[in-house]
Amino acid sequence: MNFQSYVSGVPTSDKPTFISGAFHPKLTTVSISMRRPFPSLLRSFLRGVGVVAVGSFASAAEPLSYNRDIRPILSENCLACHGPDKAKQKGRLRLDVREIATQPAKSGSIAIVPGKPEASEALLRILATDPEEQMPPPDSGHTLTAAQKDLVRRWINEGAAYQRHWAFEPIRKAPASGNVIDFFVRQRLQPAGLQPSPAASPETQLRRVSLDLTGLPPTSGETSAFLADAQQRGLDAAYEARVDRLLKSPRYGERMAWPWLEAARYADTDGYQNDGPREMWRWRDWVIDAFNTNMPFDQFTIEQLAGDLLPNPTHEQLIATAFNRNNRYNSEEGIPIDEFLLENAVDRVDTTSTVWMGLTASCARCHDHKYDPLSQKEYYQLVDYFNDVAESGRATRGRNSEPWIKTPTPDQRAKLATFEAKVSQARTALQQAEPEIRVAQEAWENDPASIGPALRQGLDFHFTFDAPEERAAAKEKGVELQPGVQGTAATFTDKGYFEIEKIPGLIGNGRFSIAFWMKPDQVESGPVLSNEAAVTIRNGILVEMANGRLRWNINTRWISGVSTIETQRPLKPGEWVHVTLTNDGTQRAAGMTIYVNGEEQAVTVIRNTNSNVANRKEGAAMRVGYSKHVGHWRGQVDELRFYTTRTLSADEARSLAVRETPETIARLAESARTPAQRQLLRIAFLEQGANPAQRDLFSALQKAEVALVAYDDRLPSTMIMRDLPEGRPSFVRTRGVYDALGERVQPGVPEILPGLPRGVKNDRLAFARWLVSPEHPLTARVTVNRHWQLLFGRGFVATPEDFGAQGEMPSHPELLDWLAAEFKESGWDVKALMKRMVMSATYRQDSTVTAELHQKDPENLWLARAPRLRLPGNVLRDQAFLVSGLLVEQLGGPSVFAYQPDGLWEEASNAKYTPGKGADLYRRSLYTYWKRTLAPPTMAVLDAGDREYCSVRQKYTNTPLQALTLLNEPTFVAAARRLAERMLTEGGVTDSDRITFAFRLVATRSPTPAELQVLISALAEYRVAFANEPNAAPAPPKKGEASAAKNLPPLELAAATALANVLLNLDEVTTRE
Amino acid sequence: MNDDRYHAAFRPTRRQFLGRATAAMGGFALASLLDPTLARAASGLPGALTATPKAKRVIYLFQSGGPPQHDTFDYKPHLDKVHGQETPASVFNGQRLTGMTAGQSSFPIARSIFKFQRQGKSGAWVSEVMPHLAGVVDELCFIRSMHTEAINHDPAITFLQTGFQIAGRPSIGAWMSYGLGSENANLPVFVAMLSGKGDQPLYDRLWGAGFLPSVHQGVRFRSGKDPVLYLNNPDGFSDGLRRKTLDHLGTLNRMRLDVTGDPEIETRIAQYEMAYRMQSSVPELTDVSSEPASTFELYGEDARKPGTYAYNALIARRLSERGVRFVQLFHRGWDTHGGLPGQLRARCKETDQATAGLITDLKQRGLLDDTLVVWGGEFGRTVYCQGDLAVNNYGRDHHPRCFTMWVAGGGFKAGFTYGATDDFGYNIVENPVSVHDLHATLLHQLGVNHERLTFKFQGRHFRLTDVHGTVVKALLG
Repeated sequence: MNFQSYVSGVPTSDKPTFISGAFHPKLTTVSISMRRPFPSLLRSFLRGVGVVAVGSFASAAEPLSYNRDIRPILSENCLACHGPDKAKQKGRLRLDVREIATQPAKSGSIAIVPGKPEASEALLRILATDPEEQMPPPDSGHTLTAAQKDLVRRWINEGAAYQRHWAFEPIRKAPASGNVIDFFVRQRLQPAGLQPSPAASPETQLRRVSLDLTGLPPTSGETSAFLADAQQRGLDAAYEARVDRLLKSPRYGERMAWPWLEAARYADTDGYQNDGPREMWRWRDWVIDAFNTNMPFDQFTIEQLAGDLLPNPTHEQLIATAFNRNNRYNSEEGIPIDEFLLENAVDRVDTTSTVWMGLTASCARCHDHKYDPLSQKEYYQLVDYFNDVAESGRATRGRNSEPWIKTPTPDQRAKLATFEAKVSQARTALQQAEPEIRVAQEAWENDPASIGPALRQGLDFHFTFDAPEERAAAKEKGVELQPGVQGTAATFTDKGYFEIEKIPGLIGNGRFSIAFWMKPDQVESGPVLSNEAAVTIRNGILVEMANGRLRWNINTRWISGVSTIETQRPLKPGEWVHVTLTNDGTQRAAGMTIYVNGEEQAVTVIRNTNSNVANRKEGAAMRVGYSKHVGHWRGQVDELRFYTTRTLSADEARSLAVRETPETIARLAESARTPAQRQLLRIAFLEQGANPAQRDLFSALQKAEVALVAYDDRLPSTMIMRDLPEGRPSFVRTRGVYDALGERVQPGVPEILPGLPRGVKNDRLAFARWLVSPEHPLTARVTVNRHWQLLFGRGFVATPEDFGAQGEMPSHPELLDWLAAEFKESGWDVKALMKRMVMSATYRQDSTVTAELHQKDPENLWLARAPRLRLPGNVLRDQAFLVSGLLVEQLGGPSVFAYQPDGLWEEASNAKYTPGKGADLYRRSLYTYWKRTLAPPTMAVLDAGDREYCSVRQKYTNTPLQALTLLNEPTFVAAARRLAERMLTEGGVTDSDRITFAFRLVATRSPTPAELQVLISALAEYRVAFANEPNAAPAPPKKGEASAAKNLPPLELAAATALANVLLNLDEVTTRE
Repeated sequence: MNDDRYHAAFRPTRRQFLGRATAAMGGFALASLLDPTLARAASGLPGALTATPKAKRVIYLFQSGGPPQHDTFDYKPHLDKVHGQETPASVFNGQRLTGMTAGQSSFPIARSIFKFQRQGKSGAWVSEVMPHLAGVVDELCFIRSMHTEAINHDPAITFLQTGFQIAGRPSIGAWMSYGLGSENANLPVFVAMLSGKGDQPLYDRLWGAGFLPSVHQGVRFRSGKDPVLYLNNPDGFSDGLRRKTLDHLGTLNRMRLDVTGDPEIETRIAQYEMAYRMQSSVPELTDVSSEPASTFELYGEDARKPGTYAYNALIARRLSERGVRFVQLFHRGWDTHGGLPGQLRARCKETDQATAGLITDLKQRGLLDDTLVVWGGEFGRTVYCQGDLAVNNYGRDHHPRCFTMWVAGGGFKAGFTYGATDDFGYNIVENPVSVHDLHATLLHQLGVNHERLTFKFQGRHFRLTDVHGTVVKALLG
């Protein structure tokens, strides 16, 4: 088959009308099986007789098309057992492959004998009435209609020509003239006996295109300007100019981002169980920006799928890759890690396949795809592209999960630079004071006995073990103070331990450092330090010896929530070493560092699931040389320091590793001191000996450093794609189960599609480039289809998520292909595509449903009119804010907590919702904080995508809950009150003027006299109602809500608010006509 | 306005109208909202509806977190003998554990601290922690051999509710709404109510519509003055004023209908009218002050307090009386990892009387026969102690291999116990029932063939039971 033959098969002028239903028999799918050969009696009976009723929709004169007429029947009824899924194939018969279907089976019978229906076993079985023979089997619940049976018979009779599925064929541009969209649309209207509708009114066109391109209606100023322009230059010129302005508006990017966020399952929380917060808004802003700057769609694709693999990726290209980190991610305790590593990769494959290829790849997770040529092995080859992410498998609870990067905005980068400048200024100031400092320090060194230990900044606890003390008491006999590095040291044989007081703040999500000298006598195992709880969850920290190496655990729940790192180099038994452990509060192994003798150690990550916030913030007793869970240890520990709020620097770790005390160093001749000793002594001087001016310089530097770290800690981060250097092996999973490993696979693209170019490195970047390669038949079609859907409510392919055999056939295949080809040729220019669509007469026509249209094409499949579509929830809310003057337009930034009723989170979870204030309440809905498991209620009621998984289809429902929301939800009511205020203050003096003013704001047109009359008497009635009912006072604004001007008469405001409430609920206002 | 023209030329016939509604929404629920008698007839589900249904509605009492079977219904006297001993490897039999206890150095067996007694004529074992339920065991059909696939809360509760561990599929109630439609024009088909506190949160998806049209999602009834979100008019907006505004809105929308001819406008007008009716029907429903004292003797005094399980149970009865198909209560706090005895007592104190009261009440009103009452959580709990085993204290980890649920009414056998676990309450030894089997059986009683109730999405005909599930005939009377 080729695509042209398919095209030629669709109705043209002299052929009958096709309606969509005829293409798509709606039946259920089940298993059938070929059992035994067909009885010859019936065979002979059939040979002589005209078999069944004639199908109603494929005219007898017209040759059948496999794709149009036959594939849907086979796919729906037969392919589950006689299709691509090898495991389910019955009798090794495939009906979707001509070479197999026309070969004799073992029994000798042939399923399909081209030109000979009476010899075709498949048809005979379909026609059989004996339950033993019948296909599909009676228990399958499937049955072909008489018309379908006849189609199969005719098709075999005509030679049983097969065609490849249309969507896998190359994209071809059919010749067209004039406006291409209108040309191809009219081609379909004619045979259906339909005419295009006249152009919509200028106001309707303006309102429609404004809502479609920016998600907001025109303001009254914009409307007047447009109408004036149309008067002057003509409607077409004015319209085009307006379209160009809209496409340049930053609101365009905001509008285009919404469906992309739904497709990308973007949210502000992780989506499982406690559904804790994550931070991905920098990616959301990247998307808005990409649409606004009209980033070519191929680049948009490559950067999001594989920006990290581009040579020297920019900060922005890394942010782009958050696309495939938007998936849900489980932080639940005790999850099998491998299970969720697989779920993450699978979600990436399914989302990517749906969004770019319209392929329902997930069907092949458990078995070969039943309808489309995608094997299970091929599915896991796709998984392998997405399986190498350097993630732990368990999400970090309450913050971003690895891999992530800090992603300051340009403003924040500038601010960060000022903090850095302050540090370097402070350092310079200190350096400039060097001559005086040196002189003062020399004098100070003359009294070494007065010099104490150094590095005191943030040093909260320091145990020297130089004398018995209460804060660090030896438990049991056999624990002694014996000579150590500095004075005496805590010394353990294999019993007893030192218990030192509670040390607060040593928690995974806090900064802290621990430093000490140690001499391990026992290196195979044994705890050096532990404040683990005695209970089995063992929350706390544990520093231990393990196979000669030093191992450090931060543990919130053994063993499901632990970060453990271990030095790669072993420690020598009996040798003193200095150890500094630092944590940066990011709850991950990579945030922990071990220094030995001042050198940062290469470490092995043993565990990396420290997802929880440790609950030992108040501290627990620290034991040296013992853990209830590990036992005792032999060795010595000296000079144990706890910095409970700081992450020590490498310099500081080096200074701490100086064996001599500052006092001892001061006694050495200057020339005999090592650089590290000099550094330590300098710090001691600045801390202890400096005069107030010098000390101020030093503390200014320390403060600047603290401020820099504090600012840096608050910068937004974004989860990105970054692969493990060594990758992660991928396997076929039997029945899709994570621990049922099958064959190991390498990355690869499905065979049915064009191959990768020769010689390229077969990685995720190659995959992304392949998607937007000129030969790829799906990406451009699927993308154009989604954009069409955005404007027309339904795509050419009504199943935007499925372009496979089970998906709907395209309503206008030539147009879809033409636009797809043009889209590629234009350099994947999205704005040009959008402009081409909205400039067409098809788009600009009236949406009136005439009786004829309703009768001939109730679903408006052939587009003889524009669709009337209820506005999405986000647009409804934004529109109400805009027309009332409440909208706060501010591009991008962290998500905001819009108004929602109290208790919605609290009743279902342990999270608390605190609405924002002021401007936060009136930002565009795009910026509303989205908790995945408890979505913003207004959006959920108004058909927003779930954000739990990829969603590419807009739902349009019509429910009483939506009515209640639009009537009574407080922000809609606030908008009504503000609109009322505008009526009274800006709308003129008479009721008629005021109503007309408000009506124009919400509907972009003036009311008809009849409408105006209804509204005028309505307003009068409301006035009476409020005057007569003492309790019917105007609603006072709620806390945090915008209040109306104080000087307005309350009664008037109340009545006008009721009227505005009606206006905002008008069908026309909630609809894009 | 030109009604004649509209009626003559534009108004779709009912069939066209339904056709359109179906096309727009992928189901017939809208039609059923407008005219409930159409519910079954208008079903677009050939073959899905089977013989006469035994049950018309469901009240599902979801005990979220995983109630411990050893301490409630699955009596294991053997544990007294082996209390404190290590769980034998033969019992584990290589089964996976959660990461929470996989690192434990010891897995001591914990017996139940609660006393068990045979109850009722059927002699079902119930622990002392549920004294009220003990009084109605002869109405219950215990399934002691439930098992599930997931070992963690989120996937497990999602699996119980949607037949699949990963988000995205419709919940049971949404399937019922889609398949069976409504019997009440003024109330939603599917209502969810939440109570309790605990570590385990609940999610929209548990009563969500998944890929079904969103009209099928469960409506969450809340305590407080807005039982349904935005049910109440804005402050100062009287009912009379609301009526007036809706009249004006209707008039104007009809004018627009005349101009545009779009039948969707008629649907919208109808939805606004139903919203208005809900404004009176819901408060009437949720106001329990007219209930006699005997009701509160039955359900407990808590039933006067909105937001409690007992109140929700009472509302469940009131909803069922009014023909609401699927009512689901979710009570949080059954995740007994540690401190099990105290936690279990507290949960039972909150729920036991009301659960038993609901059964009795439904029975008295003749509703139990055609109402399925389902009780259970998302998985069971381990026989071994999680954490440290003390004299009067212990905890149990998640355990998917077996747990107990019960069903009352709706044609399930009353006073019947099905399935059995081993001496440790750890492995099923008799008549396993999977989650899909349970779903298939519940649907069967509702007159729905679980293999035929499908929705095409992403090229597949999805079912609540995926590709599994067998009706467990042995449970049915």
